[in-house]
Amino acid sequence: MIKEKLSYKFLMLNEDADDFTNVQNLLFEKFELPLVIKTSFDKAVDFLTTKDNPFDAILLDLSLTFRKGKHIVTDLLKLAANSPLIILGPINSEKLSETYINQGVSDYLCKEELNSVLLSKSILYAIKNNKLEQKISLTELNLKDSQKAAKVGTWETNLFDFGSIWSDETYRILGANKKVTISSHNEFLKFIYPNDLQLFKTAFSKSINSKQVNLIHHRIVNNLGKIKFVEQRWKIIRDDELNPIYAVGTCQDVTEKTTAQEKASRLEAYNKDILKKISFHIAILNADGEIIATNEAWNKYSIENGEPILEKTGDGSNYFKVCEDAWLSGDMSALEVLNGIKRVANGTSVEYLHEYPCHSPQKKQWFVLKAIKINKDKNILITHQDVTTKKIAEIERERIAYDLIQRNKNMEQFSFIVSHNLRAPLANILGLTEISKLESTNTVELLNIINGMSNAAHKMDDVLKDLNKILHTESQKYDTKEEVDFQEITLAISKDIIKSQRIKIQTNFKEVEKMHSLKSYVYSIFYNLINNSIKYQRPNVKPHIQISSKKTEHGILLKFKDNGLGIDVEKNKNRLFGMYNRFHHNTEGKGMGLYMVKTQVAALGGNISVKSIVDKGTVFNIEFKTSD
Amino acid sequence: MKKLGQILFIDDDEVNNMVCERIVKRTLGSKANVFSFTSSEEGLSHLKNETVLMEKGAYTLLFLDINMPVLTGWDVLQRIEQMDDKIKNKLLLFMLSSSIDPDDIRKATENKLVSDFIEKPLSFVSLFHIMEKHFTPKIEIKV
Repeated sequence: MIKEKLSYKFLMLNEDADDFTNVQNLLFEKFELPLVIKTSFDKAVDFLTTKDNPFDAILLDLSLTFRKGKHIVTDLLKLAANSPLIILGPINSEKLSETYINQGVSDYLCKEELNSVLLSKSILYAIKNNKLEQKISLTELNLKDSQKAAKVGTWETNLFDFGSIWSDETYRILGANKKVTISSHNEFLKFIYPNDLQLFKTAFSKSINSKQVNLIHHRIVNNLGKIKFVEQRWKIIRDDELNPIYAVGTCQDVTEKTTAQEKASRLEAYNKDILKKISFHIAILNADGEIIATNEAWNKYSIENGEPILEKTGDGSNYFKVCEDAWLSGDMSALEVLNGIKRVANGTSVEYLHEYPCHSPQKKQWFVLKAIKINKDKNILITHQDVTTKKIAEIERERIAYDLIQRNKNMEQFSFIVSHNLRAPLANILGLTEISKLESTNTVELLNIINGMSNAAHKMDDVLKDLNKILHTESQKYDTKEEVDFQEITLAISKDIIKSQRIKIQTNFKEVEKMHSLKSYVYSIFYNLINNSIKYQRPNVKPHIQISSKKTEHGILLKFKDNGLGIDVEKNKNRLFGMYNRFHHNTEGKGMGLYMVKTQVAALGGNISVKSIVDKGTVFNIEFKTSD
Repeated sequence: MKKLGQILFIDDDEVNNMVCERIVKRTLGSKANVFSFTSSEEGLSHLKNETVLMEKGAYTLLFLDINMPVLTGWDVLQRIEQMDDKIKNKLLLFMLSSSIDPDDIRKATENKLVSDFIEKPLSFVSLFHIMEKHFTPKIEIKV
């Protein structure tokens, strides 16, 4: 008794009651209480079109008279696609049986030879076979779907005539129409991108003798002219004598994958290039200070700074240790940097910035170190940025500001000095006026007072004239420069001021005879220095003035030497070239000469210095740079 | 109140010294001890050597200019600083200058030796105030 299932249900189409009873009995012999329904074809339609066809098999008695057998079979196969159909025919004919089976019928049995064993075997076989078929078609369906999703097509090429079978997805990848393009190996070759054709051909012919799965990537041009990237995998199938018969393979469209990959690798290459080429020095440290990556600029700088093999600051060395070592060898800021980076490492600070000078004998440089955490792994990005340009601009700005403040101070000082020297004679006049009011003042005294007033007025006038002179000097600064002959100037001055034969001026301008300069300034400088030497001559010592010129590394040196009174340079260094400062009693000087000399030398871009010994003499050295 | 012994002027400006002497003599009488020096060195040596009156307890009133050749007013102050306490204790010193540089005025007032900074010219009124404030006997001004 067959008990695989609780209860089998059969539908039997027949019109002869005896035949039905006979078959029913046979079924009862082998199946346990089967449900057998007898029906005519018209009623069968109602049974079979219900949603869930409950029948395990359909039995058709072909002695039916109202329709020709073939049509009924065709209709039933359509109606009951999920149930196997077994025909019970009147005659035993192999040909008829074959025709029906090819049509889709599960089995054909001759009624005359029918017995319970034969019938049950046929039914059970038909049921099993039917289930298997259903499974296969389901798998085929799934395979189609997954081929489509993965863009994997399959193909099979016969190696005798090179005819091919392509799956739907293969057609789709090629953009080919199943109805127009007849699949073959040669047809496939037409789709291959011309530059990749040789690659494919070579790989394919090589594979004929190989046992492994072959894999290549190449491009194709689909029917719409679009280039696609495909991955081909195939294997050669052989017969029992190992002769190759088929090639079976898959063809996967990897265009999207390839493009995305290409984009990613391009981006990565860009990033690498940027890191490499950027002028910042970059290193990545882990939380313990170990250097885990550096860029080209970092390494280059390390090498230039005495680390030919990056032994201290290359990959794998410890940056914290570098800082500690620098600190131990006396660099106090290294400790600050170390603590700063550690604060970033342990999350106390978000970032750390530190500006520091790093001068080499060749050039001055400044850097800004920046430490910042870059990810959750507690890695730290260290950058050193060269801020030299910015720093130099900053220093220049500070210098200009300092210059301006200094100039302003000088102007202020100038105005104090001028006002002092105007107020001093004014105070005289006021004082003299006050005493002139006294009733006891006699004629002699009154004359003295008037004399004093006159002197004071002259003094004020002199100060104003001096002011004019200074302002004039300032405006002359922009006069045209010319060749100034030192000997010529000296001679002109001697004629002007030397009235006594006692004074001896000795010159030596052999080395440098002339300079390109402002004649009025040079004249004034010579005049004041010669005049001073005469004014401050030692009593009873014949004045001897020596003037000479010399070439120096950067320009010209003029030397004025006398044997006069001399000045205590050490004591008066701050006042020596100041306005209205005097250093000797009882002379006509008013403290303008050296002030003018200093001003004019400075205006010509030169420098003046003095050496002197009291009661021996004085030497003034003036150096001009000859850049123009 | 202090007793006045002598009055000294150290200033390279002769006219100013002449005016000052006249004002002092007019105020204190023609027999007042007034000395003026155009050279700082001479003034200093007078201060150092003429100490008879100071030893008797009388004060020296010194008017000192700032801008002078060789030794400036500031140099003179330094030299006085090094002198004997006997002299310094009996000295009343005023800077007398036509400078309007705030630095000069600050430097003067910050110096322990200096009582005050007086702008030139010295007038009867300012001398009277000094005498009033520091010295006996009271004087009567006759202008």
